Amino acid sequence: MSRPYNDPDQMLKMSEHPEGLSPDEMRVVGKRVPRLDAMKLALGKPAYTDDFTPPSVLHGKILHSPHAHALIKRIDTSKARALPGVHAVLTWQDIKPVRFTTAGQSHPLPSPLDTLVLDSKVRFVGDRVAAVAAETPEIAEQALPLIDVEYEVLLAIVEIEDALKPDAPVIHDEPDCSGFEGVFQPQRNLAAHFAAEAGDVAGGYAEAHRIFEGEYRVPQVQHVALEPHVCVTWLDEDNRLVIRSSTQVPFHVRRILAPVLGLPDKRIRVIKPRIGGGFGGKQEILLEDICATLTLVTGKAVRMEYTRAEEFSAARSRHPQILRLKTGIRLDGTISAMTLSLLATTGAYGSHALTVQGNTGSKALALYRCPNLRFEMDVVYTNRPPAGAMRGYGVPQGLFALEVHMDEIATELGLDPIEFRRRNWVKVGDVFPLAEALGEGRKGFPNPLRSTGLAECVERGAQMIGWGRRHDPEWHSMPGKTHVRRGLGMAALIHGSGIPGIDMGGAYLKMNDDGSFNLMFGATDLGTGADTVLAQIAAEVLGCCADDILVYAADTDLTPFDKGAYASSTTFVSGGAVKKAAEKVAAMIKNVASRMLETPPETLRLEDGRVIAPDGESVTLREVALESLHVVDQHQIQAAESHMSLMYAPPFAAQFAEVEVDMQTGEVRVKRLVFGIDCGQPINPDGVEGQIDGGMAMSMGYGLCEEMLFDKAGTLLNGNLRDYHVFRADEMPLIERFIVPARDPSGPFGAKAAAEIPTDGVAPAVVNAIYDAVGVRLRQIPVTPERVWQALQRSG
Amino acid sequence: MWSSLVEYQRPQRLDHALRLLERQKPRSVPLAGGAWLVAQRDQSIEAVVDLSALNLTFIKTSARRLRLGAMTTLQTMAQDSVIQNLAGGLLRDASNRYAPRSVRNVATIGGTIVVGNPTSEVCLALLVLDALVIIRKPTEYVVPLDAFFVNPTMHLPSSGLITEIEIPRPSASVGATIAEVSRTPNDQPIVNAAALVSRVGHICRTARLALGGIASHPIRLPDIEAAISLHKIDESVLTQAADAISSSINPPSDARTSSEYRRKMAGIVVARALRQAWEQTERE
Amino acid sequence: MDISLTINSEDRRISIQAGETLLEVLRRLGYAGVKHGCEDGSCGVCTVLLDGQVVHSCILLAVQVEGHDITTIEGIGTYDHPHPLQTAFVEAGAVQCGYCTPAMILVAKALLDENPHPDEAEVRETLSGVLCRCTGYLKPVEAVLRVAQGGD
Repeated sequence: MSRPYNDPDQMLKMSEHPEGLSPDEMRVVGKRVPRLDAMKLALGKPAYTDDFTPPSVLHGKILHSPHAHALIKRIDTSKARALPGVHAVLTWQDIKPVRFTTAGQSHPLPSPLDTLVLDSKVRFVGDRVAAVAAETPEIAEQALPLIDVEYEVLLAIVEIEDALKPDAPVIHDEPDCSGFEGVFQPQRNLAAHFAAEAGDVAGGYAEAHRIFEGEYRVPQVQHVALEPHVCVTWLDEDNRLVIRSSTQVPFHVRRILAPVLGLPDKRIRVIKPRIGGGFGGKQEILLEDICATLTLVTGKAVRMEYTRAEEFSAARSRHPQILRLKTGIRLDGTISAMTLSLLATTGAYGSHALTVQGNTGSKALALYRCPNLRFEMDVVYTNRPPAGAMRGYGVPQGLFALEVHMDEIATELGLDPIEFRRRNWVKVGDVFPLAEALGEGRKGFPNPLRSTGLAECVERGAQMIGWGRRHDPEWHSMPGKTHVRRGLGMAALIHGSGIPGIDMGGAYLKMNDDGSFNLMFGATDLGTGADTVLAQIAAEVLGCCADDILVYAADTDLTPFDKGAYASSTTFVSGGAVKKAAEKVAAMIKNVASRMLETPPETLRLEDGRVIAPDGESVTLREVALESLHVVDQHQIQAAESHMSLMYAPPFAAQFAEVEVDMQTGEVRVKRLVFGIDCGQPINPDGVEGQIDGGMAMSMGYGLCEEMLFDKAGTLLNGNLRDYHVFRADEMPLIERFIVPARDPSGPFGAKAAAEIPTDGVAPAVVNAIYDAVGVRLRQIPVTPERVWQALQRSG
Repeated sequence: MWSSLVEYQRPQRLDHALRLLERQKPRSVPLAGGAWLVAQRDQSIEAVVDLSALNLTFIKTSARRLRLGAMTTLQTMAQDSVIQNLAGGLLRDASNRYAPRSVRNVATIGGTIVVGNPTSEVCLALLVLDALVIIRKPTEYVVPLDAFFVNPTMHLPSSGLITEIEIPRPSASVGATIAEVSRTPNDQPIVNAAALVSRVGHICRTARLALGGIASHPIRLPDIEAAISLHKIDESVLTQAADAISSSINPPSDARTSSEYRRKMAGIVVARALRQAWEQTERE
Repeated sequence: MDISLTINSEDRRISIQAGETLLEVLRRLGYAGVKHGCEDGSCGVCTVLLDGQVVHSCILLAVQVEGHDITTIEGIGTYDHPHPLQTAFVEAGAVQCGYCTPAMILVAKALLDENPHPDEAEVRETLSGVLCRCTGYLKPVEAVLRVAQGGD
C-alpha cells in the first residue's frame, strides 16, 4: 500500500518557522518588500505578451456572429482567401471537431465539453464564425466581410427564466457534447444541475420560531482587465508549438489543447509573461486554440489580440444569478435551517458553470453555523456571451444575497446586525456540513475550522467606521442637505484558500555560485504580486533577502506544474511548495556548512545571508555555494517539491460602508469603506492592502453601476468603457483597511488568502447601508439611482 | 489603424480647406482634435483635412463679447483668465466635468459642438451663455447654438466648417451652475442641466436654462425661462418649473433608464441648477 | 509618408501611413511602455506627453504630431536614474499588474511639472484619466503625494 505524497500531518505543520522564529521576529515574511518586477514595469520595459512579437508574424482576426442563435447553412471563404496578404481562412469545415471546455481547471474537467474551435452553429452575438490569418491586422479585418455566410436564424433565449420553458430551443443539441452525469442536462438547457443536503432540513424549519425568505438578483459583469486577451503562437525549430499567452493557467492550456489540436502534450509549450490583469477572465482558453490552429495551418507565427469591444462581447463575464434564501430562526436568534437555491445562466457555453455556482453554495452556507442545510443550483444556457471565472468565483453573488438576507432578519428581529451575526458565525472547531458534498466537482474534505479572526475584524471595523452612529437618528440627516440621508451597513465575509484536495503546485530551487537562488514554479503572477510573495517565503527560510531569489515562473517546459492563479491558492498552496523546497535546500546548505564550520548541522542557523554556528563563527551563502559546486563532494544544492493541502483554511473579513442617499434622485454615494481582513499571516502587507483596495473598487462597481445590458435579440448594448462604467480615481470613498492575522497551522507561516475576499463585501454593505439611511430594502444590484428611486417611490 | 484613410491634408488657408471638403472623392471630413473622429474609424472616410494650421485657435475679448476660435482646445479655454471669471467659471467647470485632462488637451470647442453629446456639459454651458456658432459654408453664416442643435446638418453641411463661437459677455451679477444625476460622480450623466440667472433687486431678470440627456442634443427651455423671468425664485417657482418640465418632455426609455425617471429627473436637475445659480447671485 | 518629430528628445524621421495612430507607430518603433487597452481613448493606458501635455495616443493620428515633441515612459527614467515618480510607485506598492503604471506616472509627471504641490483632490482628478482595475487608486495616489510633498 503506497503512502500518499502529501502527508496530512505535515499539512498542519506548514505554519512552523524552520528557524523557530515567532511571527514578530521574521525577517522577510510580513514585510513590505517592494515587488521584484515593479521597477521594470514602472520603466515601461517590454514585459507583456504583445511586447515580444516574433518577426514576420501573421495577425489573426475572428469573424463574430451577428446572431444570438443560428445555424451556419453555408460559408464560402473563397473571396477572403483571395485577398492579397491573407494566409488562411478557417471555418468549421476545416477543423476536426473535438469538443472541449474553455475553462482552465484540473483533471477531470468539471465544466461541460461543449465548445469547438469553430462550430457550424453560433450561440451568442459575438460567437466565432470563422478566423483569418493575414500579414497585417488591417488585411485580416478587410478579409472578414468577404467571408460569405448564410445563416438560418433560430429563436434566441436571452432571459434566464426563458431557458427552462418547455418550448425553449435547445442551445446545445450536438450529440458530442458531454459533462458529468446527472449534472449536465443539455436537453433541458441545463449546463449544470446540482443539489445537496445535510442534516434534517425539514426538522430545522419545524423547529424554527420564524422563517424568513428572500429573493436576490445579481448582474452579469465584466473583468475589464486593462490588457485585453492576447497570445502569440509559433512552431519552433524543433517543430514544437509554442504558445505565449496572457493566461492564468498555462499548464491547463497545454493539457486541454493537446487533443483539440491533435498534438501530444509534449509537443506543446506554454509560456506566461507578465499579465496586465486577469481577474479570472484569463482562466479561460479564449484565443490560444484558434491562434494555435492558425499557426499549425500556415506554419507561421500568429498573433491575436482582442479589441476592447471584443473583450466586452466575446470574452467572459461573471455569472448572473437569481438567489433564494429561506432561513429558519430559533427563538434565541440562531439559525435552525437554511436553504439556498439559485438559478444562474452561464451564457452560451458552460465554462465554470458547475464550479462557480457550487462555490456560491460552499461559501455562503459556510459562514454561519447551521446543521440543517440545503443547496440547489440550476445553471442554464442562454444565448448570451458566456460567463466564466471571475474574481470571487460565485462568492460575491452568494454573499450579496446572504448578507442582505441576514440584515433583513436582524431588522425583523429587532437585533443589531452585528449582534445577530455574532450569535451565528462559525467558530474554531466547526465543520461545514456540506464540505463533502460541495467539493468543486468532486468529493470534498470536511475538516474543522482552525483559525478565524472574523470577530476581531468586525469589532475593530465597527469601531473605525463609528458603528454607534447608526443609533443616532440625527446623524442620518445632513445639515444643509435636506434631501440626503446617511447610513451605515456591513457584511461579514468568508472565502477560501485554494481548493482542498484539488489544487497543487510545485517549486524547484537551486543555489548559484554567488549565494543567490533560482526559484522556479508554475504559479502564475497576474499582477497579484505572487512572484514576490513566493520569493519572500523562500528568502525567509533561507535567511537571505528576497532580492537574492531569482524567480522564473509559469513556463510548462521549465517550471514545475501549478494549477494556476485562481481560487486564491497561490500563497496557500504554491507557497507551501516553495517553503518545502526551501527547507530542503536549507538542510543541504547546513549540511555543507557543517563540514566547513565543523559543527553539527542541526545547531546551525541561517540569517543575513550567512550560516551561523552557536559560537558565532559563520560562512556566507556564497562560500557554501562555491564549496558545494566546485571544491569537495561537489553537488548542486537544489530541491524540487510540491504541495497540495486537504486543509480548509478560509480567510474571513468584515466590510463596512458609509453611504449618502439622495432621496430625490436615488443617487447613492459611498463615502467611506472600512475593511478588516483575516488573511492569516500576511506575507507582504503592501500586497494584501493592494488586493483589498482593488477588490473593493471592483465590488463597488458590482454594487453601484456595473451590469451588462442586452436587447431582446441578445446584442450587448453597453460594450464600451463609457457606457460600462468602472470606478475612477476621483470618485473613490475614503478607504481604511487593517489586517487581523489569525494564523492557520496549515498555511505557509500561517498564511491564508487575500486575493478574492475583498470583492465580496461592498455590494451587500452598501445595500444594507441604504436601508439604514432611507429604510428601503433593495434586493437587486447594481443599485442604480433609478432602482433606488423606484424603491423610494413604492415605499411612499 | 484607420485603414480607409489614405489622404491627410493640413491646409494653411481656410478657402483651401473648404475646397478640399467639397470633394466627393476622396470623401473628406474636417479633423479638429480627432478625439471623437479617430475613435470612430469610419471606413467610408478616405481623407481628413486637419484644421490646426488655419489660425482658428484664439480667444478674443472685447467689452461686449468673447470670440473663441473653433480650434481652441477645451483646456486652453478652461485656463483662460477671462473664461475663468465668466459667469463664475461656468465654462471651466463644464469643461472639467466633460472630459479628463488628456481629452481636454486635444478636444476643441468646435469639435465638441459638432459631436454634440446629449449630456455635454460644455454644450449646456454654451447654450445658457447664448453662444452663437459662426460657420463658413463657404460664405459666413451665423446661427444661435440652440437652433443649431435642433437640426445640425441643416446648418452645417458636410462641406462647411465651424470657425468661431461667439459668446455675449453676461452681466457681472449672474449666477450660473450645472446640476447632474449620474450613477457615480464621474459617470456620464443620465440627465443634466445648466442654469444662468441674472438678478435685479429680489427678482430674476433673465434666466437661461439648458437640459441634457433627454434628446439627441442638449436643449434650451425658452418656455420655462419666460415663466421665471421677472419673478423671485423661491421654492414654489422651482417646483412649478420642475413640474412643467417633467410634463412637457417625453424622452425615450432605453435599457438603462425609463422615460418616467428621465422626465422626473429632468425637472429636478433644472430646479437644482436654478436654485444654486440663484443662490450664487445672493452671495454678491 | 515620412514625418519628422522628436521622441524622448531624439529627433526622428519615420515612415507612417495616414491612418496609423500614434499608439500603433510608437509600439512598432519599440516603445513597449505605451499600451493598448481600448480603441476610443477611454482607458488611458496609451497616454504619452505631447509637448509636455498628456494625450491619448490611440486617438491621435501619428501624422497629427508631425513636428511635435513626444515623451513616453521610456524617456523619463532608467534603471540607473529612475524618475522620482517611478521610485515612489515602486516603494509605495502602487504597481500591481503594471499595465496602467506608465500612464499613471506620465499624467502625474505632467501634473507636477505644472503644479509641484497638488493636494489629494488634484492628484485624484489627474489620475482619473487612467483606468485601473487592480489598485483602487489608493497606493498610486499615495505615491504621487509622496513626491509632491517631498519636493522633486
